[in-house]
Amino acid sequence: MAAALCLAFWPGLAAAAIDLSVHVGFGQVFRLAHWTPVTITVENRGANVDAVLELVTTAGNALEHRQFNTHTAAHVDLPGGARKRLRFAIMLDSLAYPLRVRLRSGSRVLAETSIDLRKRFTDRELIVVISPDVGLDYLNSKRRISTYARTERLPQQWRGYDGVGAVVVHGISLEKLSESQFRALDRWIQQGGRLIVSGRADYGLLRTPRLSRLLPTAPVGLRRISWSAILGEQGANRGSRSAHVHRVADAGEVTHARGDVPLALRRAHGLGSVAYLTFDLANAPFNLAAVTAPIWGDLLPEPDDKPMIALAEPGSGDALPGPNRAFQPGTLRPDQRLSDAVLATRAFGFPALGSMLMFLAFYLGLLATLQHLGREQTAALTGWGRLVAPPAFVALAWTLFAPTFPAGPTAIAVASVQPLPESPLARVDIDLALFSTSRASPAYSLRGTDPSWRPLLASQDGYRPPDWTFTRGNRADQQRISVSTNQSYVLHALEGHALIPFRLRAEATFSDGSYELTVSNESRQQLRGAWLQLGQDVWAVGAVGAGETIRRILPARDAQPARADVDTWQDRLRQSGMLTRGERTGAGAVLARLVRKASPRIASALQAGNGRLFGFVAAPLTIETDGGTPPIVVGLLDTPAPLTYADGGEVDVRRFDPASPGLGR
Amino acid sequence: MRRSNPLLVAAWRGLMRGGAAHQEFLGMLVLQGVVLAIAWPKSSLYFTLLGQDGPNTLLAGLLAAAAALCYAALRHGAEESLLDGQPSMLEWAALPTSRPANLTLGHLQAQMLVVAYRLLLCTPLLALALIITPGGLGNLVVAVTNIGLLATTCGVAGAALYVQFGTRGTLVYLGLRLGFAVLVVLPAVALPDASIVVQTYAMYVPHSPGATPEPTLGGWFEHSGLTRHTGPVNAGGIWLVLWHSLALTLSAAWLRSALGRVRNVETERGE
Repeated sequence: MAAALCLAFWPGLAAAAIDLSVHVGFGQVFRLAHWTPVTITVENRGANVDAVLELVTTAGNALEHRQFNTHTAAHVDLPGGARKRLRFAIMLDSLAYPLRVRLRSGSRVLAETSIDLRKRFTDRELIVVISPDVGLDYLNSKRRISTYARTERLPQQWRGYDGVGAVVVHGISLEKLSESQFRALDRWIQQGGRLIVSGRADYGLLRTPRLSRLLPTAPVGLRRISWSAILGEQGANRGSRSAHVHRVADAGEVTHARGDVPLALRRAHGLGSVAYLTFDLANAPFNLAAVTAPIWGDLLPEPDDKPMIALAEPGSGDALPGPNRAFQPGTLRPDQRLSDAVLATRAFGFPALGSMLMFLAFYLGLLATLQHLGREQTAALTGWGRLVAPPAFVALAWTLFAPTFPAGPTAIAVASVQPLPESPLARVDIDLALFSTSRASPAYSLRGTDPSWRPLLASQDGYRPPDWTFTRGNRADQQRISVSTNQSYVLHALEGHALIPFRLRAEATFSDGSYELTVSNESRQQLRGAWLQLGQDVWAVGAVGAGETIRRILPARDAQPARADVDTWQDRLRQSGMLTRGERTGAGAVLARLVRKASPRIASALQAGNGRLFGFVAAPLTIETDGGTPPIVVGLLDTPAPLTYADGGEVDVRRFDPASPGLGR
Repeated sequence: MRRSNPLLVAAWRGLMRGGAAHQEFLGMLVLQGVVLAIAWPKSSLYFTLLGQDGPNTLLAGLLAAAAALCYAALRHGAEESLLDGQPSMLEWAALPTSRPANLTLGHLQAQMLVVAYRLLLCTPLLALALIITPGGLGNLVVAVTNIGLLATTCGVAGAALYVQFGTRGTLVYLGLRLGFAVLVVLPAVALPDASIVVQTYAMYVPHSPGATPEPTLGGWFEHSGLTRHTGPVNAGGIWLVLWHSLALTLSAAWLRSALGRVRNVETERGE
């Protein structure tokens, strides 16, 4: 009883009953200015606790008042004696401040620890090795470093692999990963990641369901290969020594072979690839750098020599390499953020000065009239009229002007859905603008996807970035965003990235002066309206329902110029029935900017004939504000990379050029 | 209404009838409308957001209303503009049955009624400004209450001045303008915590996050956990109420004393 009372009333004792163990990155190494996995183990040796686990990172420049904290939080229910492991993916872009992890119940901190990031960072690309007995330190270079991770510390979110160039799996079954860990790995590969799997003699591991789904082919047995065949002249003096390699069912794309023995095979998986090494990396002679160097050289292209971006420098006008913190919404430029385009042209705004003056004139005119009519006989009537007029005009003002003005906190999100090639997934890049016209500290609830959010530092003078809190919801696709400031009339910006299930197929054939286009929407997202762009021409395709297939004949003579101004796109939207006359939603501006943004990509390969499908889809996420104006969420479809076609040939939006900018990390 | 103080009844009837005082206040409403139009945001919401500077339309509207109401209340109290059919204070004082305390109370009630009515006339303008200005309804109610209190004080002070020096027109005329300066302008310079101008400004133009807040009495209350609000608004709340209460009490006492003197003169004349 005494102990329980002590625990209840003395926070110091309660805090001592909870242990926090924090693991940052892969093998305690993380890549600076990239999303990094953090695994936290919480052990409760005291009474039941319902708490919030919070990771606090600090970025920005304190001297310029541009320092801010980002809190990534999750609720955790800890019964007495429980031990739980929670995984997060956070952006670590400053070494100046430690990573703080704390468990709190309300405002009471139950446990807290700080991690000094300076001892664990690297600016090199990571090669994550998951193996009990393989060492790949010979791959280390100026731009690359090998690190060794355990399966239980692999990330649960695909963004956690952000700083990783390749994951090498050897002697481990992927069945050991949790469902969410495997999904994260799979999605990261589809985003452009590389998985390299090396076989051991017990090739049964490679026939387990998850690996066999990813690998280019399945091992069916073992075969011997002599050292001399592997090493050439160098192996001639090794006598009759030989090594085992896997025999495979179907050769697929062989990248390296010795004679008829395939040593490395590869298959594309989304934008990424899965390579299968049929030999054992841990055994001689394949554990020698000289033997595998040509294979690694092919599988792991040297990373770009990008300058390291650290300390969250504010945008200086030009887009910075690496994390883009250049938020330049001051002018309506083609590279302007899409949410700003919507905000700048959206119907809501301040009531027009002219309307306000008319309203005042009407009110004062009525009062003057009542005053003038206030003779003896009608004095009481006009007197009451003067009493009733003000509240009536207050109601009228609220009815006329309040609905067109966003009261309280609101948000504008433009979610660009970009289908991944050869994948049932699409990448969603979300451009989120948040602001409040009241003094309330805004909070937003999100449903539908689980984006990783990154606050952008606006470059305007005097912008003071607020602290942000991103709290996981009870379900994987729920989130809550809170802003620490109650400053009104300040525009904040976040960029988010997520993956959603999405599949769209399109084919076009050209004959008799017309394109015949077939669009098959195999996703659950409704395509509300689309345009086909081939070179510098566009055709309206119209709406395609979820699960629906449509065919359109698009005469070449009906083509419209793709590069058009905002008003022209606004008119096209009206013609297609997506907007009613007079309605201004910013959609025209979004389309105009979308085309303008994509034009250099399209134009750069115009000779070959390039095109894409773009338009509006049902928004993949919903946002709710606490007591504010309903946010605007626009869903955009944009097949991001040029698709090739030839007159008289075929257009297939699945055929993207993976090397094209716009996708990948 | 019949059992109410006759001064209050007279003021109510005057309000219902209209007259020159109404026209004058209508003119002041036009001026407030002009101020509102000047303070209305001219750029779009988008560019206002980029400028990180919300509109101060409600602040402008409130300050214009405060100036208009206080000035009108002073003039009305000093009977420079009376409502239709409203008797003069000197006429009330001349009545054999009248008592200074009752007259003071009646005048106070009448002033509150007239000020409330004029505030009511301002509400559509303030509502327009409230739609676009951050600050919330709570702040607006506090600000309007402050204005009402100050305008009532002005009305009573104007009446006291008139009853005291009513026979000397120039002195009353100049005294009214000086009274306006003393009650409205002077505190803004000498007693910021008790100034309606400064406190309304602090309510709608908060300190920037980087600035260090000045120590105030309100800060002390906040730290002591007695209040929830922050900074100067709170301090203003306390000092403003103290200052207004003091000014109103002194004005009412002065009015009562002046009325007593008039009553004595009338009694002596009657005898």
